[in-house]
Amino acid sequence: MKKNIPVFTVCCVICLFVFAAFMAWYTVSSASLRAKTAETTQLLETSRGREERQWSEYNQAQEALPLTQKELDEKRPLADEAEARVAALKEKRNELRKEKQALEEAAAKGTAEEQPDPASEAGKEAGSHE
Amino acid sequence: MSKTVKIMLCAVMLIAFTLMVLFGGEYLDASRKYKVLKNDLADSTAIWKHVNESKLVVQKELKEVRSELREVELTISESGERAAELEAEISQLEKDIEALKSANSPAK
Repeated sequence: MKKNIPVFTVCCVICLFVFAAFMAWYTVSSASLRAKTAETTQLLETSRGREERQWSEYNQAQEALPLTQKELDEKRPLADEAEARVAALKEKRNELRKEKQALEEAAAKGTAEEQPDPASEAGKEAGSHE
Repeated sequence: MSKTVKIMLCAVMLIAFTLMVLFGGEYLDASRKYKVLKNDLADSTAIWKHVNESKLVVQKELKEVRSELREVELTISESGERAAELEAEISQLEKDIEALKSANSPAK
């Protein structure tokens, strides 16, 4: 005797198994996805903060650069001028040193001429005795 | 199996199917949002890395200009000090020369 297959019951069982399998997959996958989303959200926040900080630092450097360049352009001629002044003063000092040396030499020569010659003095003295 | 039980089972299967569709839809939506977040993160990372590189270039340039400025300021300061020293030396030399001239003139 052939037994009738309970088609409806089999369908119900298959459907419930499928549902149970889906729920098992959904629970695991959903939890994993939620965790990944939370992690990515946190990473994104960090990255946005970093992005903002980098932009801020970039803008700060970008703003400071022309101002520093301008200051440098303003001060460079002053440095050149100061160096030129030092060079001129050095030259003047060297000239004055030479002049002083010449005067000292002239003074020394004059002093030597004024001093009496011991030999001629002795001759004069001998003549007067005679 | 009675008809009532069959109807109840059908209702249960319908509810299960509905739940599957709802949860499936929710999962797909969450998955799409996750992909968008991931793309945003990749974009943001690429942006801050690019900005960081540009910032480093600008900061390097700024550092060079600042170093040059410091050198120029140092030159100005040192030249000022040296000029003051030289002026004092020149003044002394002029005095010495005057003294020597006045000492030499009566001798002549």
